[in-house]
Amino acid sequence: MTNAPKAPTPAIELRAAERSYGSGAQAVHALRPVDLRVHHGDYLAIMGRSGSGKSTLLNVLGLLVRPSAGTVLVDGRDTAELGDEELSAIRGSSIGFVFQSFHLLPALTALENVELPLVYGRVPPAQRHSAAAAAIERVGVARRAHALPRELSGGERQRVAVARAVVRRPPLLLCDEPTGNLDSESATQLMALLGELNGEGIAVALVTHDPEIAAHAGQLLRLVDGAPAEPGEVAA
Amino acid sequence: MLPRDVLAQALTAPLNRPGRSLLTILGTVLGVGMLVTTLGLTSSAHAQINTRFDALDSTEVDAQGASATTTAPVITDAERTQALGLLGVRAAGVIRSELTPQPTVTLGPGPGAVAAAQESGSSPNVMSASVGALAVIAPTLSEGTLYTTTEQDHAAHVALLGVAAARQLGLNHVPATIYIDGTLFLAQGIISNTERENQALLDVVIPDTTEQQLLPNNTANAAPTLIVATRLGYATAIGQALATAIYPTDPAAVTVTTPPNPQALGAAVSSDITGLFVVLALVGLIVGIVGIANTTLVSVLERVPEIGLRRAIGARKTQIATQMLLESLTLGTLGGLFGDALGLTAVAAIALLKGWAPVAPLWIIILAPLVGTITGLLAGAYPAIRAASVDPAIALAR
Repeated sequence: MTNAPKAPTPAIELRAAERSYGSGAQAVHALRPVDLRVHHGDYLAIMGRSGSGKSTLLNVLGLLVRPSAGTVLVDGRDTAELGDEELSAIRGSSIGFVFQSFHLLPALTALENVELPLVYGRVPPAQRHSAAAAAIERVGVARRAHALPRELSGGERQRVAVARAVVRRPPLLLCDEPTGNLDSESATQLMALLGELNGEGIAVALVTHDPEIAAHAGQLLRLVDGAPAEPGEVAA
Repeated sequence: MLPRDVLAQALTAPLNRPGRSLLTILGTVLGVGMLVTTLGLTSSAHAQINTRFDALDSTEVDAQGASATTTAPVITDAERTQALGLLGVRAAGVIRSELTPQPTVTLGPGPGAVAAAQESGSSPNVMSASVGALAVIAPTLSEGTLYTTTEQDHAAHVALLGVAAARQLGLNHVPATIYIDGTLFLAQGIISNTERENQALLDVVIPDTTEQQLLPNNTANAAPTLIVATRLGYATAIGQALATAIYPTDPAAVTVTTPPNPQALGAAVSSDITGLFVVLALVGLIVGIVGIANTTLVSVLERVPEIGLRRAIGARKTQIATQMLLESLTLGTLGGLFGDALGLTAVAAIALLKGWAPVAPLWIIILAPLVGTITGLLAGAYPAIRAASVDPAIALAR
């Protein structure tokens, strides 16, 4: 009798998760039932046309919306049982977000923006200051730490956003068109940075419509009309 | 979040846009300022009324006596004895004015002088006052002397001239001779000021005994009044006891006049003014609530992406609502502080202009900022609820 090695628990797993808006004949199926597993260290690109459900899938993965049906498990734990407080805590500690439009707070400096997740994590000021400084150093914009977002270039802003997303060392990084507002050079630098972070063990799920960007990922999920183009369970 | 971070996050937005914040709290500043000013001026006016009443007006009590046309008990100067027996009485005596008909006062004898005085209107009125009443009136003489008890007892033909009466007669100095209905009198003093019964400044004043003896027909219709000077704070009690003291068989028949209670008068004045301005202050505070609510709500709508971002990085709904509510509370409290300062400045300035001592209740000085805080709380409730209900997925898609 042999004991087969236990499969590693995915960082996040969807089981027949779907998302609809409205009801009855008027219902819009933004995401049809999908099975997906993202393990620690995976690098997944999600592609599809506009309206294919890419952002909806990302929102479900990021626990920003609950699925209309199906299950979402984070480190094996069913999120259906969790309330807003617990979901917020998981987002803050386990998921980092990078957006196309950066979403930096304009009144805060780059360093203060990076500290923000640590504020919600109740990290004391001295510790979060040093953690934020290390993160901003990691992404290569330490010299711009005290600049306001309006004083930064697009590439610098996105790097600050990445620093904010990883300052708490989450196992999963979700990126929604991260190079959409960048020039080609900045985009290349950003993708290199995401590759480095993935190499350090952070799972990356990246939404893009650009095949060249998607080529950086190890796995590809293509969505058509809210469903995977190739039906069946998708293991990233 | 750590408590200090809760406050720091709440202060970021108001401090980042100071001009907008100041405009937002303007309504609250004016409302709280008006409230403090109203209550402060009321207190100052009240204190001023008390001061003035303390001086003179609240220390005289009058008792009306009988005349040919009234049925009150007979009151003479003898009744002053009973009045003087009451605790708190400083002086008492009888006066009689408004004689009917008024005798004619001239500088010369004879019917010719009388006719001339009547035609020219140069005859001042005559009133009588006992020596005790003179003590109540407390006249200041520019010249001459008061008549004495001895002169009163002998119904002497002596007189005092009020300053207006002397001017009317063309007399600048005393002693001088005058004629009252043709009878010779010695004017031995000129009254330049009185503490009470200002009528004495206008009239020729003679002893009450002299008046009764010389002018019985003229005095028949003039009711005597027993005037009583009291010590500070005794007027009300003396007013209640005086009738019984001077006419114990039927005190209800005596009409006693006491000065208005300064507390009651002050309260009446206060309530009229205070009620009106408190209403205006409340209107100002409602404007303040609407102003803060409007600005906070606009701020929430402008910051939907920020709210979505905060939710994505771990903020709970309650933390979002708390942040917005604290922003509103901060604005309201600032409005209360500025309004408090503005109101106190207004009280001081207006009191200085009117020569009053500025008085403001301590409780309103301390609680005024709290009024602003409550304003902010009421104003921020709905925007906080709206902020907490923002869908982060939709917010971040902007």
